[in-house]
Amino acid sequence: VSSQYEFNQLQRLKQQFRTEHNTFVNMTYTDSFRNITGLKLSYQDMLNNPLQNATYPLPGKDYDRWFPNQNYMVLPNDVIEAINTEVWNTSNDDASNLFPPNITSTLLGKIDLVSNNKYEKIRMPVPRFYEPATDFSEDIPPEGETYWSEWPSYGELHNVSFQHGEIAIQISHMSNLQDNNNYLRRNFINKKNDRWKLLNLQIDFSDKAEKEKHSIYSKAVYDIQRGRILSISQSSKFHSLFALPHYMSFQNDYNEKIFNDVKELVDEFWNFTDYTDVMTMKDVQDAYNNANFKCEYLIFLQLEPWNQYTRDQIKLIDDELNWPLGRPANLSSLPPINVVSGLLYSPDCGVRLGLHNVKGTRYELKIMSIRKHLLFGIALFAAQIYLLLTQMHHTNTPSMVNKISFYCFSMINLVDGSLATLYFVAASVVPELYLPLVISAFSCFILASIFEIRYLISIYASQVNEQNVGIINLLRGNTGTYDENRPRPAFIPDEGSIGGSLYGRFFFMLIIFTFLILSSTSWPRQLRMVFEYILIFILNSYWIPQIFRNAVKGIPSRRERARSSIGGNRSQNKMPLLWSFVIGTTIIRSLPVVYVFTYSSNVFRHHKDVHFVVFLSLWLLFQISILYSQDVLGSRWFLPKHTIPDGYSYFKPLSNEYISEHGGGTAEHTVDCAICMSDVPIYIEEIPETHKVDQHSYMVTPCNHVFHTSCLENWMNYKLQCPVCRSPLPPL
Amino acid sequence: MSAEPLLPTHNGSQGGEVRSPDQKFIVIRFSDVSVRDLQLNISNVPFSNINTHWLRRMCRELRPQQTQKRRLKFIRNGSILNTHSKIAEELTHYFDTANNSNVATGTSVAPEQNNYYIHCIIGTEELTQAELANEDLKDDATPSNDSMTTQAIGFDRLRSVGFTEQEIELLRQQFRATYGDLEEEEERLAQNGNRDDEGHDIRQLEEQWMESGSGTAQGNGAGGGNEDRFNSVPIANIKHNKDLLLGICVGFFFGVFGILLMKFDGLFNRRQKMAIFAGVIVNVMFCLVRGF
Repeated sequence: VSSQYEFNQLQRLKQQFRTEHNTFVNMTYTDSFRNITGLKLSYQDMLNNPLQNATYPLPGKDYDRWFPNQNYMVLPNDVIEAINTEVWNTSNDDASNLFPPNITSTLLGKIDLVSNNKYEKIRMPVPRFYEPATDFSEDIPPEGETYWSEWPSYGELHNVSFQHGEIAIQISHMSNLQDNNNYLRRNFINKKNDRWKLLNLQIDFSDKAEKEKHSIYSKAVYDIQRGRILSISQSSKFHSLFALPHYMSFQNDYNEKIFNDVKELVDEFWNFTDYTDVMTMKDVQDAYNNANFKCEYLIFLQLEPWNQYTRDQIKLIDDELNWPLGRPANLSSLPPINVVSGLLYSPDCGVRLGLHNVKGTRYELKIMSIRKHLLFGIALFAAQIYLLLTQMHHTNTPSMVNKISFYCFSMINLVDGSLATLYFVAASVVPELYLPLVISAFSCFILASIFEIRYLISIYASQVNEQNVGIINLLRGNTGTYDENRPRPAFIPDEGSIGGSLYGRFFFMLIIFTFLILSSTSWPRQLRMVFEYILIFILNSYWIPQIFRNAVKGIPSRRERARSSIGGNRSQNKMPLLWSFVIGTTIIRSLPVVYVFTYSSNVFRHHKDVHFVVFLSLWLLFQISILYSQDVLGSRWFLPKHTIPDGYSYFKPLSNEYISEHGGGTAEHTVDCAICMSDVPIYIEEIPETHKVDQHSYMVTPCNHVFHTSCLENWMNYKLQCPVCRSPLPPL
Repeated sequence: MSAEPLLPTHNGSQGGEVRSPDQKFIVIRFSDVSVRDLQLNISNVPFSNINTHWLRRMCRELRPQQTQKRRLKFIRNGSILNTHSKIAEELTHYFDTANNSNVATGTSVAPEQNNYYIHCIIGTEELTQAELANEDLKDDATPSNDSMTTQAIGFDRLRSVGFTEQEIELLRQQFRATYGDLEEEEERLAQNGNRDDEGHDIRQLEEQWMESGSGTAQGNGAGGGNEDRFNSVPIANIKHNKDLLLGICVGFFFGVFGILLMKFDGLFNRRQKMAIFAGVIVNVMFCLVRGF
């Protein structure tokens, strides 16, 4: 509460609820609702006068009697009839049917529109004191009520316009209520806990394309004996809590008993939570928003009985699910919570919907299966870490690392990093799975932000020389510093500063990417699917940059490598990526995608699309086969010969001019090798005596320094920098 | 004197006697070149009687002026003989093989083959009577491998070319910092209680490094593994990364107990301890985030 106005709003609301509660306490089965908000008018009243305002007392209305028909209820007679005959049609007097007492679960199914224009809409006014203040000096909320027709329209839909759609019902028990007065958790157990339960329901339904979404949060009463669930949404225009007893008991049998039981339950709940005392401004605003933007719904559900179990068995199963100790309960064959029939009716929008095929497994079972999936995922991460370590070990010299594509690992890293973030977010959302989720997040995190980033840093460091160099130059194997017009990089950053910038870039990308993914889950289905497919396709193209890099670096074919390895220089010509790493990574990364897209019962409720998986596998296979062909045939086999310029050659004859300038070896026609400090015999074009010197026995750098081949190659394993003048060297 | 029949043993210098082929000699060669070799004919002495004590007595009797009151140490095959040395067995074995080879070839016995050589070191300082009585014990007390000459390898080799002790230590430190996994190997070996091998291993690696440092680009396949090890980027070092992984996992999963584990010496090396600390920090941070 931040102002006097809001304080008064809250007081008015509490006041109203208390008055209504007093009415409710005195209400008996044979009484009608009196001035309870939203229940002042019955369906018959609207039929009599469609413009009837909801006032109390209504002239000529009988408030002292109650019958389950449209004269007294907000439901039309044929809906009442439908509920009696189609939904709640099992009376279960003989207690032959058995229903599970604990039904925490998420049910999924189909929803069909029965009618959205046949029924008269009951006018439900919103009290004006809910309205936010219009100016700061206002202290007292306005009096009176407003009707829908008077509300400003924000484009909200007080109707359901699709014919067929999907519905998800999340059921959770209200057994674990937070006691707001002393912040202690107390278990809310009503006196007749074995027969009645209070539930929280979250119902979302939408058309298939998810263009039109409706969601309802409401409390519900569960009749364990008969397997019936009644839920009525509540907002500032419809105080449904007080309607639960009457609407639970409008069948002809045991009416009064049911009414009294439910009334007792509601009253217990009211007293336990100190309903009005704990109300906050948020409740006021939520109630007002729900009233404005949503239709009110009455939801009638009938569960399928679990007759294959006895009462004791069901208790055993519940205990085992709550606290798994290995009791003899076969949890794998536990039947789903199945809604046999259901009906949604909105009195103020006049919409009637039917449910079919709504079912879901118990929440605890679902958690167990998710836990198994998570553990498998952790195993995948561990395998990926192992592969990465061996791969890092394989390319442990700068000139090897130089051949690895930075972007290839950036893509892999981005995926791992955002997975870590998603896991981490999920860990705080799903407390039951905190441990497995946090371990997944952790393993993903060390994979991405420690090992992959470290590898990226060394890749980046080895490729710093090549920045600002055109591809053609790179193809030539020249890092461009040969070109005298371009200034040399003033300094070569060390790994610390590279690490800093890469970590910065990593976390920035990560946050953006994660937000993009999180927001995409709420997009309309069409857009979301396109986004998802494109994203998965792009993120699974991680070998493409490496193929490109191989072509740029020009790794010779396998046969040539075998030939050249005889003459030494073994490590320079290996393929940069280990085959075990390539294949292992591909499998590890495509397994989850394959699972999600091919198992229709996957934990993510993802739709099945085998075609996409086949396409994706072929695409990955294609990338791997190109990598393999580069290994066998040489990495530039697909480029036409003339497009490949000659690389920089370290082996070349020198001119007489050079020797006169740099000469100084002890013997004639030699220079000093700065590494081993001994003479290098060189081939000088002008002097025929030197022509028997093998040109491959010495190397000339682009900066015109001469070394023994063995000396410089050894050095270049370590650093791609001229040992004399520190100018960058093109890799071999 | 009971040693009288043994007197004609040093016939080699007098040269008058003809040695029969089955006669057996122990030749004691002294470290002091001025002392002539002492040849003992042991053909008639039971081998079980021959030990360091007996040898010492014979020396003192036959070369009294040089060996009286001096410490005598006997060396055979580079190791000091003491009371535990199985001279008798060795003698049997030695003369058996000598005879066998002669029988096989059918030639007459070469005089050298009947000589069993033992070196004797004559101490410089004079010993007291009590010390003379305990000479055998003294032999036993000196660790036998003390006198083993270890060839200087690794950076120790640099000592001979004029590097000072500090310079070598500096080099060694740098070497360990660069190829730090040696430290771990050291600890692993220390746990095995074999300190000698440990020092040996590091020096071997230093030796390898010094050898490979210059122009082994044409290194053969066998040496390839170690060559990579010296050229590698530290980030890609698999041992570093394994340490990091292990440490972070221990720190994360054990939390504060990870720090307690760090207190146990020899369980983790320094790099692992740092990683454990990082893991604990991650653990605490996850916990803080959960608290919100």
